[in-house]
This record gives sequence, C-alpha cells and structure tokens, in this order.
Amino acid sequence: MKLREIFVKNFRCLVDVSIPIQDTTVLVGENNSGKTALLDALKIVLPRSLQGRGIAFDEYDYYMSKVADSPQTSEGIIIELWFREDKPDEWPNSLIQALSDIIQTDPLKDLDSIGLRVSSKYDTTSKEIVTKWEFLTLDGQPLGGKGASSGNLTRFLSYIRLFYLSALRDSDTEFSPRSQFWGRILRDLKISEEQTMMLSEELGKLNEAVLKADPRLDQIRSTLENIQKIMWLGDGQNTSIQALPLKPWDLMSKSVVVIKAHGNEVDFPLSRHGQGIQSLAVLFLFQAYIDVLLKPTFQPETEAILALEEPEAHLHPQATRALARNLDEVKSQKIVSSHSPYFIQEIPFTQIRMFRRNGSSSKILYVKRSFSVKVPNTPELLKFCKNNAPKFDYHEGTTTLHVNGKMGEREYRKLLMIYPGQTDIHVQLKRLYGESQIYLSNGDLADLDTYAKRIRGEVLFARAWLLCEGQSEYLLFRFFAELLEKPLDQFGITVIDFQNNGSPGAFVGLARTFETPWIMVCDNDAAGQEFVKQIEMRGLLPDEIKELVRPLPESGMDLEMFLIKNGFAQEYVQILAERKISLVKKHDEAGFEDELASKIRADKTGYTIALLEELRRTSADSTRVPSFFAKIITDVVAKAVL
Amino acid sequence: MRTKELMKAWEELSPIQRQAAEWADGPLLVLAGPGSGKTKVLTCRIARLLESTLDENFRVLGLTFTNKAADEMRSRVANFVPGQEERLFLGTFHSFCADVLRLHGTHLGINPNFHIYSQDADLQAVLNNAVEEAKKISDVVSDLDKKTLSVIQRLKAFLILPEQCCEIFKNKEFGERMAAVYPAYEAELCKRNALDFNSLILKTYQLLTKFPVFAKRYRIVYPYICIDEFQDANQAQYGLIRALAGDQHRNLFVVADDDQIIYQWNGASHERLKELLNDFSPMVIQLPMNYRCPPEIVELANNLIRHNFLRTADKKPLEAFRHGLGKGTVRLLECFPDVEAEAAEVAKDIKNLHSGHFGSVVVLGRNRKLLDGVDIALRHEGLPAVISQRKDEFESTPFVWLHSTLRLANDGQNRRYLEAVCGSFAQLTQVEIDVEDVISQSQALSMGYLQIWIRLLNQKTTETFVKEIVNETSRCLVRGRDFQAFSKSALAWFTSLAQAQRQAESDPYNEVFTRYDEEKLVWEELMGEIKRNLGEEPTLEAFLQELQMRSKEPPPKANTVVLMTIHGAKGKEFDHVYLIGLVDDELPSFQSKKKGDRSQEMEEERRNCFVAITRTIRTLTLSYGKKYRGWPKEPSRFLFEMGLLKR
Repeated sequence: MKLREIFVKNFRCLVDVSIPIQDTTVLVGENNSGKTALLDALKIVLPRSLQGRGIAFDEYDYYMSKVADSPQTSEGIIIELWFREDKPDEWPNSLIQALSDIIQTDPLKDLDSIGLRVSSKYDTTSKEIVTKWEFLTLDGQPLGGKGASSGNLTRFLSYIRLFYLSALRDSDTEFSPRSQFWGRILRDLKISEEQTMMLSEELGKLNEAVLKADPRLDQIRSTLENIQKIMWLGDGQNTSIQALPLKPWDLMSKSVVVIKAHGNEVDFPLSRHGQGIQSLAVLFLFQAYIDVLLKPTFQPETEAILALEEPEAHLHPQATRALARNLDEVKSQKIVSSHSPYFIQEIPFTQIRMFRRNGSSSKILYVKRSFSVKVPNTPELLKFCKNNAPKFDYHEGTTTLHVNGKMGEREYRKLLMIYPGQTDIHVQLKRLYGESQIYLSNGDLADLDTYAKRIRGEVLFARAWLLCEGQSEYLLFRFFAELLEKPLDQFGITVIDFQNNGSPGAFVGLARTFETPWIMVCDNDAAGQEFVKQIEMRGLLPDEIKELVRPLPESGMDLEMFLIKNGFAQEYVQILAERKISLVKKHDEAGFEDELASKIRADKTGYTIALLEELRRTSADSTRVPSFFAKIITDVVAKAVL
Repeated sequence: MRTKELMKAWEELSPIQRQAAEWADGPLLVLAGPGSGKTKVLTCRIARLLESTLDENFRVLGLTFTNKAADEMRSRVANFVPGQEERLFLGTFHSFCADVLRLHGTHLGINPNFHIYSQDADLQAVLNNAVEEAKKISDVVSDLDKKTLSVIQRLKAFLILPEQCCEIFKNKEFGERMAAVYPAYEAELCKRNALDFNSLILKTYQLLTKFPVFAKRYRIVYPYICIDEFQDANQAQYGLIRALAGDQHRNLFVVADDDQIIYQWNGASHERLKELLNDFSPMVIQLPMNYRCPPEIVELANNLIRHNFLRTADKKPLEAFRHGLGKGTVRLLECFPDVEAEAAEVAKDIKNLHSGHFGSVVVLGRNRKLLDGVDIALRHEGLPAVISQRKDEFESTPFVWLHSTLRLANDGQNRRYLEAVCGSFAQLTQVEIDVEDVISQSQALSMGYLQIWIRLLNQKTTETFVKEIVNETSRCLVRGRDFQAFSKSALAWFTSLAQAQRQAESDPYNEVFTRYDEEKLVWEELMGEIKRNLGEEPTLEAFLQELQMRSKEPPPKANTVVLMTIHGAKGKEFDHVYLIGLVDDELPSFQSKKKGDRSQEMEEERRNCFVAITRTIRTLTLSYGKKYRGWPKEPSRFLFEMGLLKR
C-alpha cells in the first residue's frame, strides 16, 4: 500500500497544496519553505500511537497571515493522505479483506484507494477546536456505515507505519534501549527459556568470581547489610552487589555497536565516531529494522514510510552520493528533504518536489506527467477519451479530465468541439492545453537527468538560468559578467550550455515546471532558428519568446562572427599569429571577416579560451563588453534578484 | 477447538451433520427438514471456518431472511469463537445490501445517508407524487396508476430496471404506463434519498453487475458465503447471489428445504433450487432426521408432503429421532358447528390443559381472521393472549420522541420527524413548540430543525427537568454525534419523568407511558443486536437504517398464549401447537383451490400445513368446523392426506 498523494490546507505555510508522492520523493527548497511542515503533517496523520490525537495540533499550526488571525478564525486545517493502487490487483487479498470497510474502488479503472483526512477546525457551537479523523469516499466525502467506525484507524495504522528521522540524528538516543528501532530489536530478541536459564547461571557465576576477585567488595556488602537491621526485609541475604546484569535482557540493553576505525585495532563504540558515521549508522539501523522486524511486529502486508530529513548531514560528498544511491535498498517508501546538490544529483527530476515560498504561503512545484481539468461528463467526451486512451482519460466520479502528455493542436480543437459555444469550458480547456505544453517526454527527462548528474544538481538551486548553445558562450558570459562586476555565481545564476546536454526545449520545460526565470541566447543561423522553434513548441506566447529568447543581432550571424564584428578581431588575429596561422586576406579587404571566422570555427572553444586569456592579460574593462551581452547579463541578474 | 462450547456442540453433531459442518471448499446444498438442527450445523461450520484460519483476514458472509435468525446465529458463533465477530457478517439480505450501498452506493448516486422506507404508507406517498409527475410527461398515466405499488414491487423483485419494464407486459398499454410511472417512482425515491426494501436488493445487484470490480471485491473479502432458508429466496435475492458469486466463487454453503417454501407470493419457488443445482452443481447432503417432533407428528408430516410433486426428486422422508410420547400427542378435535364454536372450544381446551404454562402454547392459523376469533375467545376465558405481528414503529410517547429526535438529527430538514418530535415532547412535558415556528426560523437562520427546536425550547421554558434533556440533546446530537449517549440520557430522563408522574398520580402517566416498559426492553434489545451486527460504534445513519429494517414487536409476556400466522411461525418451535381452521378454503386457501388440485398454489398450501405441524415439540391439536363466515365448508383435504380422517 503506497502513499500516492498528500493534500494540505491551512497547515502552517502550506495553505493549499497537493503533492503527488512516489516510491522515493525528494523535497527541496529554501529554508522555511514548508518541507518540515509537510513531514510534520505526515507525522500527525500517521501517529505512532493514537493517544492524544485530539490535541494533534498546536495553535501555531493553523495558518495565520494577519495580526488578527487566530486558530478560531482559521478556516481549519485539512490534511488528506491518499493511498492508491498503481495497477489493478496490486494490493494483496489479505489487505483488502482486512481494510475492506475503508477501501474505495474506482469502478472503471479497478484501482483501490484509501483516503484518510484529518481536519481541525474551531466549532462555533461547541466553542472548541474539533479535530476529526475520517476515511473518505473517492470524491472526498466522509465514509458512512462501517467505514465510519473508529476501529478502522487502529487497524489501518497497523498496515502503514511512518518512521521519522530528523536532521539531528544522534546515535546515543537512536541506539538506546528505549529507541524506536534499536530498542525494538533488543526487546524482540528471542532467547529460549533454557538458554535464558543457562545464561543467568553463567552470569551468576561470573558475578561471584568478580566479587571474589577483590575481598573489599564483600566487606562493603556486609556493611550495607546493616540496612536489614534497621528495616526488616525478610530472611536471608538480601543485599548483594551485581557487577554484571544478571538477566540476559538487562545485559542486551547495555549492548553497543562498535566499529573499528581505519588502521586501528581498538573497537570504538559508535558514539565515539564522527557525526557522519553515526548518522549513517542510524539510517542503516532503520533498514535493518525494516528487514527484520517490521512485518513480524505488525502484519505481513505492513509497509513503512520513511520521512527523512537531510540525510546528507555531516556526510562527505561521496558518502552523500553513495547514500542517495543506497536509499533504493531500503524497503520502504521514502520522503526525503535535502539541501545537498550531491544528494539531489542522483535523484531523477520526476521525484523532486520544489518548495517555493510565495508571500506568507508556499507552493510546491514538480514535473507533471499529467494535467487535469474539471469538465462536465458527456458521451462525446467519453468517446474521445476511449479513442485517445491512455493519453486522455476521464474520471466520472470527480468529473476530471486528465491528459497524460502534451496535448496536440488537433486534440485541442476536438475537445473544444465537444462543448460548442460553452466559453467558460473553452477557457478551462485552453488553460489545460497551455499547461500540457511543458510536458517533458521520457527522452527529455533522460537528457536532463544526465545533465543534472554532471553539474551536481546545481540547476535546482539556481535563482535564474542563462541558456546558451555551447561552451564558448558559457565562458564568455561568466567573463563579461565579471567585467560588469555582476559575477553570476553571486546572483545564483547558472549558465547552461544546452547543446551538449539535451535540447533547449527540455530545459525551458524544466524551467517552467520549477518556475525558474531564464533567458536564452542563440546564434542567428539556421540551427539557432531551430532552437527557437523548439521553444515555441513549449507553449510560450510570442511576447514571452521575444523577451526571453535572444538570437544574435544579425540574420545568419553566429557567435564567432559576432565577436569579430564587435571589437575582438584584433585579438583573434594576434592569437592566430601566435599559432602560426596566417590569413590570406588583409584587415580591410572584403572577405577578411569571413576568413577569420572560418579559422576560428575550427576550434571554437580553444579560441574562446585564448581570447579570454588575452583579454585578462591586457586588463580589459567593462567597455569591452558588447552591449548585446551586457543587456542580457543585466536582464538575467534582474530576474534573479526579483 | 479452543472453546468448550464449540467442542460440546461439535460432539453433539450426528455423523451426517458433522459431514456438513466439516465442509470446507466448494458448493454444498444441505437439504434440511424441519427440526433437523440446521442452525447448529450452520453455526458450527462458520465457527470452524473462522477458528481454523485465525491468522487470516477474510470474512464469512452469512445471509438469512430474518433478523432473528441472524442475531441468534451470530451470538452462537460469537460464543463458539470469541473475538472473531469482525470476520463475520451475519445478517439479512437487506442488511447486507444496506451495508454495501452505504460504502459504495455513491457510484449509483445513492447518498450513504439514505432512508429506508418500510411502510406502505410512505411508499404510497412516493407513488402518489410519482404519478403526478408522470402525468405531466405522459398522457397515458392517470390516477388509476396510484394503485400500482405492488406491480412496482414485483418488477423490482424480478430485477427489472425502469428502462427495461416497457417490454415486460403482455398488455402493451399497461407497459407504456408503467414505463412512465416506474421511473418517476424511482426518481421520487431518489429525490427523498430513500430506498424501499426491494430496491436495497435491486440497487446492490445493479452495482455488482454494472461495476464488476465490486463483485470481485466482495468475493475477495467474503470467500465463503452461507445462506440460510434458501428456499425463501426470490428472483432478486438469487440474482444477487449469482452476481456476488460470479463464475469463480464456488464456496457456497446453502441450507434449504423445498418442503418449507411458503413465500411463493413473494417470488420464492422450487425453481430456485433447480437453478442452484444447475448453476453451481453443489454436492447435496440430506438431513432427514427430525430432532424436534414426536414420531407421531413426523409420520403425519411425511404422509402429507408425499402428495406434493414439485420437490427434490429423491428427497428422503423425515425420520423421527425422538421416542413416541403416546396418546394425546396428536389430537383432532371433534368437528365444531362453526368457526365461533371452534374458537370458543379451543380457548377452553387451552385453559383446561395448559393452565400456568400458557407461554408454551401457540395457536396457528392460515390467516389473521382466524386468529382474531381465537384471540377474542381466549380473552373471554380470561386468558392472557397476544397476536404476534411485525411492528414497524414505536408506539409509546417516550420512544416516539426518542426515535424521531434521532431521525431529525440525521435528517435535519424533515418535516414529518419534526412534527413527531414536537408532538411527543409536548405530551411528555406539556411544553409546546410550534412546528411552523421552527421551520420559518430554520430557513431564516439556515440552521437544522433540531437546533432551532432546542433554541426555542430554551427560550420558552425554565423548568429544570425540561432544560436537562434539552441540554443533553444539544450536547449529544447537535455538538456531537453521539446517539448512544443521547439514548442513555433519554432513558434515564424517562425513568425520572415516570417516577415523578407516578408520584403525582396524575392520569397522563397512564397514557404517556403506556407500553413504555415493554418498548424499553425492545429498544435495548435492538440497540444491542444492531451493535453486534454493525460494531460497537455504528454511525447514526446506519443505526437508523438497521432499526428501520427490524420489527419493534416486544417479546410475549410470560404465561401468555401467542397467536401466529403460519408464516410468522416459520423457523420457530413450540411445546404445544394448536392449528385451527383446517377446512378447504382456509387451509388450503380459497384461491389455491381455484387454481386446481395439482397447482403450485395448492402445493404451497400443503407446505403451509407441513410447516405448521412441524413446529411441535410435544403436542399438536388440530381443529375444524362446519361453517366459516356463514358458508358451509368441507374438512381440509390435508386432514385426509395426513391420515387423520378417512373418506
């Protein structure tokens, strides 16, 4: 049983968000953008025990944005979790049998789901905060009949367990006998009665030997025995000294994990190792717990959700990357928050949820594989969906049309024709059409993921992107920006040379998905125009294209020609001369620029590097920056600062 | 076996009973004669299924035709395997369907908070409105169609949907009318968010067939289905079982006796058993041994039922387990001159023979009229007597108030419930609240009727004993939805109210609290049974739905003669049975005689007689007269067939 969607309303800064959840889901975003709020929301809906769930929320949990706001004026917190089958018959029969009273089924797709809602709202009649736990019908109504019975929650929680590991993982607490995993493992140790007796006996002997080793101990014991004279405690010897715990469990509770450090022969207890090792140990402990104890403790079908905050804490970059890859080994659903590019570079974009603060609330952005709109049910629509399955599907219960891909122009026209003259629906369909244009195909995503790996996930942390064709532009932009005293790194701007890393369309799709501001520069030749066309296909309006896509100024012009024409011919001639490459044409002869450009094109990047070296050597200043580049840099910085 | 109770019950099973109780997988038909211990077999079987699979989650579905049978079996199973109640649904077809529709009815547009209309008056009101609506769109519909309630019920009993009904009728014109009225009736029910008994079954059938995923789902949850008294199933109920079982589900455990079909008028038929044999090819186990009746009566029963042709081909005759009780076990009273004399003499006979043990006597008659005569005669003799019959609504003022308050809490804008709340509360407390005031304020403030009713009461009265219960109503039903707490408070309040009034020795006590004590028992009993069926904390709407499906008839008082129709006596047993009115035109009925000696109807009458006599544990007394309602009658043919009279 997998968690597939979380819906939150008015909980801290999460005012109205809906987040699809995958087997692994990674939350990224600046501090205070709501990542912890989301994990806390999960903790509240899936508590470890049901005690005290009436007071699950404190007063600062209710979304408040104005001074006069209070929990009493809040519209109320709603947290909904939806567990859903990915395909028919996925959930085992025994699970369906046990949870039959709360499982709802999509009758056409044959997909089972469970919806659980916690709502908390001030009730004006009873003048108190009422917190309710309800299982839901597919359209979000509370279930009646047996579905409303209170025993359902207890039973449900024995099938789904949430484990929360916070950023501050301390092995001392996590490996204590009372901890959630280690303690459980220790308590669950099964030692036969016979063995227990034997061990107790052995321990007793050992204890005696220790006591006899130093006669002073026995002396102390007999002194202490005087207690008995003051308080009568019964016959026999009542006072003893235990050098060792005499019960096997007592002994086990004292057990510690020891690790030999590199090149050392002494076993050091875990707590004496570095923070990083401790952190990792706790994670692996969780894995061990899932593997060994989860199912025996609860049900054979019980599944775990691991909410993990900043797993990268205290870890070396390589270790962080290894951890990200290892996370797959943990047999549970994982919801991870992270600030580490090293971690995120290993995570496919589809698994990333980007939290962005937007005034007093947050929004959550992610790569959408499906787009939806609510439109009324008609026989024509059903027919259309049937003919265009699985790209289009319609859910009758919620009257929602889904398009699982990029909607084509013709498909759009056909949909409009299903609702002739109904302008309000046409507006909705137009929005759907527009939204679906940012759809990223599997090919796009594969390219993007490879790229992200190479540049360490940095793109996701950038405040703005500057898209350019190749490495020459990449180097030039960074250099010019320095000359303009606007170093791009300082403004959080990432320059992306898209030609080697996929297609500009894919990057623009990604930028729109995560709402990252961007500007793109390209040659004004045939190839450049092809790039512009790709971007047009992402559903941008002509005005947006004009503002964001900046081809070099003259028709047919590429970067080399642009630089020659914009004051760098001199430097290039000099560089060629150093490389003993001579030119046929003279400086003022017709065709000189073409010949020069053709030589440079033979090694574009090489000449760019040489050019930049030369400019640095001669201490070029901001006057050398062509106004075309200067404008782009100013514009993109303005977007990043916004 | 984990419990002594189960072990003991198991040991008591005969080898053939045990064979049935041990049945694991695959379809089985148990042909169980009267008194053959079928309930024991069924409960042992269910208990064993549950006990041998303690670490599994599947549930067992047990379907019955009466709540009584379900309640009894549930408590037996709970006794055999404690703690497994959650893995068992034991209830009537209707109760099961209500449960399904509460959970998944939304896919057919049924709000889980639906009402169940069980009374003809309610349904007639629905039909009247429907006909008015239908008249607007169809010229052929007229007020005449307000008499088609039974037609609609029959259509439903045959699983015919509104859109299919036009072609069903031979009479084209009538078909056309029904094609307008039936959909309008359904639309009216839907508007009121209500279902009648037959639509509980029909809608569930529709859900399972229109969306096979739900049938699949219920097959997973209930891999074992047991059906009690299968012979009573009509087309709709059997259709439901077929839909539920599908082609894969074979674990059907069916108990039936084709000699006890007495619900032919409701669609039950011996054909159903044939269909079952055809569709599932079950193995058949016969339980002919009768543990209830003396051998003398078993012989009568065998003599009688032999004359039926429409029954399982190789059905074994009943075998008596018990020893003979000797003379007096079966008595045919000398022919009386008329029905009045018959009633009077039967009353005297009961008085003479069973004084002090009237509770062990039942008087059975084919129809209610016959019973009325004996009822009067018994009272004339000074004997306590009661005619047993289904009771749809509570009658005593306190429970009318309690029930309608709960209904109003569940259905905030229902005028009828509001009227009942105001009326009964005024009788209880002399505080009058005007229905129209409540309604107009409710519209102005957009609050529910109950809330307004509470407001108005708080304004109107300062008396503590009224305030007390009003506050409780508000606390339990408006702020919370804890109807069980409300019920508790209300009962406590009634008790103090009754005491106060009794002390005042005022007359109203007698009137207001008439039948209060017996209905209190019924209320508590029903509350307990419903909780055992639905779980400790049923929702208010589910509770009210279940309550609607159950009879509110109180158990007979001690030492009281009970009078019953044969239909009412089905599934029961009594020490001393009086079967009256054994003449042609009564048993067998006039209608069946008209259909002919070898008609299905005549066979059904014979089975009625068979059922009646096999209720007997100790003695059976039969009676007949010469004249009924002024007409001379012949002794019942069944008396000859049983061998009690010779031609």
